Amino acid sequence: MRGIVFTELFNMVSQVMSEDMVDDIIDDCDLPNGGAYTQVGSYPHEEVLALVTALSARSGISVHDLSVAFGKHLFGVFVNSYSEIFTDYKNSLDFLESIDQRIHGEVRKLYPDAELPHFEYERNGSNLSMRYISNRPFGSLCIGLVEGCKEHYGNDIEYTYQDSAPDNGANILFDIRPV
Amino acid sequence: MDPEDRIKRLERRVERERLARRAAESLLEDKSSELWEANLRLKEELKNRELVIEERTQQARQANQAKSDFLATMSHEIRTPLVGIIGMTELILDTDLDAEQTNFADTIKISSLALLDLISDILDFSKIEAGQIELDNTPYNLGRLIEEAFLITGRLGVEKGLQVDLDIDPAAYVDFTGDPAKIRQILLNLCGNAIKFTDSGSVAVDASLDYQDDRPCRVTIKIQDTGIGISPNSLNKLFSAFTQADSTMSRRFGGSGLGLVISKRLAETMGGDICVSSTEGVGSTFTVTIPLVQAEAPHSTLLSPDQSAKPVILIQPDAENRGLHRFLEKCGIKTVIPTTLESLKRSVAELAKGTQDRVVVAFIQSLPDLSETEIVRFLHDHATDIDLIASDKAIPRALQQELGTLKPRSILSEPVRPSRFVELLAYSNDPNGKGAEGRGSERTSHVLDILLAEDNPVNQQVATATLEHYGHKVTVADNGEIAVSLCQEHKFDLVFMDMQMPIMDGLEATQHIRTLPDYADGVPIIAMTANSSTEHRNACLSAGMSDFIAKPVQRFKLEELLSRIPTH
Repeated sequence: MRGIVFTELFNMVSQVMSEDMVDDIIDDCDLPNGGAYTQVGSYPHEEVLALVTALSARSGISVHDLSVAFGKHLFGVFVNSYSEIFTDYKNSLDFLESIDQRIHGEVRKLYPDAELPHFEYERNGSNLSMRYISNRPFGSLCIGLVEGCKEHYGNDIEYTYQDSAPDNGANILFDIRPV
Repeated sequence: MDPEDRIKRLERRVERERLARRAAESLLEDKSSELWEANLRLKEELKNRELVIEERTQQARQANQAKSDFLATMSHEIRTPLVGIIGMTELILDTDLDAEQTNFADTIKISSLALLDLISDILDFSKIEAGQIELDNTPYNLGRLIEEAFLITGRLGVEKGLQVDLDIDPAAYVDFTGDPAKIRQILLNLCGNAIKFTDSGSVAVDASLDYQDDRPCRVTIKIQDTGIGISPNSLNKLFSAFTQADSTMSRRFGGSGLGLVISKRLAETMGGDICVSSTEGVGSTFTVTIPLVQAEAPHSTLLSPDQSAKPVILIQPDAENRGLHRFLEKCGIKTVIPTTLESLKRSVAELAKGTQDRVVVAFIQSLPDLSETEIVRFLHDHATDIDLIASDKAIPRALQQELGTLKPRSILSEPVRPSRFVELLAYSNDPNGKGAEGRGSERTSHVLDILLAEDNPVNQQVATATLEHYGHKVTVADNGEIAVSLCQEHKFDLVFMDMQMPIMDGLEATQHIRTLPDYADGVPIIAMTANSSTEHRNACLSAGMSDFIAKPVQRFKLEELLSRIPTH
C-alpha cells in the first residue's frame, strides 16, 4: 500500500479528531515501524486496516463509514496534487471510465511495483456500469472515492451499488447514471 | 494525561517523524541511484544507436559514391570511342559522297552528337552530385560569349522558321573573369530548349547589365519563347533531377532531363540563379542571372563605327522592335527602316544625294509587303549606289546571281551577330578600306609542321586526318619518349600532346622537350585531353604546356587555335 494512504489517514484524523487520536491508534496497533510512515514509501495494507479498526474502536464509528469518509478525503488530496489530470475530464463518468487505463497507467509508470485494483466498464446508453475488483478489502474506500469524484464534478451523477464482497477482497458493481 | 506521559508521547511523535524522514531520505537515495543507472544505460544505448546510424550512413555514402564514380567512369569510357565515331564521320563527310551516303553519314554524326550530349549531361550531373564542380577563372568576352551560344542554337531556330532575336547591351562586349565554359553551357541549354519546344513564333534573347559604382556587376539574360509552355504542376519539379516536365517529354523530345538541373546548379555555383515563368500553350521565359567580375584592364572589343556616318537602311520585318535595330541604336548608329518599295526607293535616293559614298543597305529578311524578288530586283537596278550587307536567309544562293554586278560586301548567316554587323559597318567607313577584305577569309592559310603525340590509334587517325584536311603536315608519336626524340631531331611549329600515354606520359615528355634549346620557348605545346578539370589544366601549364584543348576536339576551336600559331 502506498505511503500516501497512511500519511493522509493521519492527516485526516488529526484534522477531524485530534493529533492525540493519531498517537492513540498507533499505540493500539503495535506497528513494526512505530507508525513512521512516509508518503513515498510502501507498507503492508494490513497495517492501514489495523489502524482503521483501532480508530473505529476508539471513535465508535463503523469501519465502513470511516473508510468512505477517508475515500472522500483522499480524492480531495488527489485533486489538489494532480489538478491537471482532473481538468482533462469534464464530468464524473468520463473520469471514472479513465481510471483503469489512464490513471492507473500513469501510476504504474511512477511505481512499477504498485498493486492496483482492476475496473471493468460497460456503457448502457448514457449509463455506466463499473465493476471494482480488488484482492484486498478496500470496497468502502472505493465507494468514498466515487463519492469524492461525484462531489468534485458538482454532483453530476447518481449511483447505486451491489457489494458482493468476498472474504479477502472486494467486488462492487456500481450502476451510475448522469443527472 | 499526566505531564510525564505527555512528554513521552511527544518524544515518540518526534522519534516517529525522525524515522519517517530517514526512511524517506533512504528511499530518495535509492531512487536517485536507480535514476543514475537508468541514465547511464540510456546513454550507452544512445551511443550504440549512434554508432549503428553512423555506420549505416557511411555505408550509404560509400554506395552512393561508388555509384557516382561508376557513372563518371562509364560516361568517360563511352565518350572516348564516341569521339572517334564523330571524328571519323566528319572526315567521311569531307570525302566525295553521293546524296544517300551523305544522308547516312549525317545521321551517324547527328546521332553520335546527341549521344555525346547525353553522356556529357550524365558526367556533369555525377560531378555535381559528388560536389566536384570547379569554377574556372579565365578572362572572357561576355558579349561574344552570349552571341556564340545564341548563334549555335539560333541557327536551328531560323531553319525551323522561327523569328530568332538577340537584344544585347553593347557594353557587354568587354572582358570579365569567370568561367565562360559554364556560362556557355547554361545558355546553350536554355536557348536549345527554347528552340526545341517552340514550333512557331519566336525565341528572343535579351541580355542586360546591372551596375554598381559604374561597373557592370551582373548580367541578366532572358530567354523568351512562344513554345508549348509548362503547366503550373510541372513548373515545381522543373529543376529536379530525373523528372522531365512530363514523362511524355522524353519520348517526344528526347534528352536526359538533366539539362535544367545542371544549368541551375551551375548558375548557383557561380553565385547566380535561374528562374522561370510560363503559361501552358503560350510560352516560357527563363531568366538567368550571373554575377560579373570585370577583368583587370577591360576594354571594349566592339569596333565603334563613325557615328557621323550616313544612316543604314535596314530591311527586316518589324525592325523597330528587333534586337539588331536596338543594338545599332545603342551604338549610336542611325537607321532608316523602309516598309514598302516606295519608301525603300525614297530612302536610297535621299541618302545617295550629293555624295560619292554608297548607301549601306542591310537586307536581313524580306518584308510582308515586299518580296525578296522585288527587293533583289531593286538592288540590282541601283547597284552603283548601294553597298549591300545581306543575310543568307534574305538572299538564298539561288537569288545571288540575280544581283548581277552588285556584289554583296558580306553575306551574314542568320541570326545575324550584332557585333559582326557593327564591325562590317566600321570597315565600310574606314577610308583605307582594308577591313572587309581582310576579314573575309577566316580560315588559316599557312602550313604548319605539327607533331602529334597520341597513343590511341583512332584518335591518331582522327586528329591526323583533320589536321591534314587543313593542309598541315603531321608527324605522329606513339608515346612521350618517341615525341621527345623526334623533337631532338627536328623543330616542329606545334606539338599536340596527349596526357596519358604508355612509357612516358604527356607531362613528363613536355618537361623534357622544354629543356631542348629549340623548344625552350616559342614552340607551342598543346595538351589534348578529355580531363578538363582546373587542377589538371594547372598541371599541364606548370609542366610547360602553352595551351589546352579539350577532347572531343571541336573543329572551330582547332581552327581558331591553328590560326594563332606562327610558322618558323
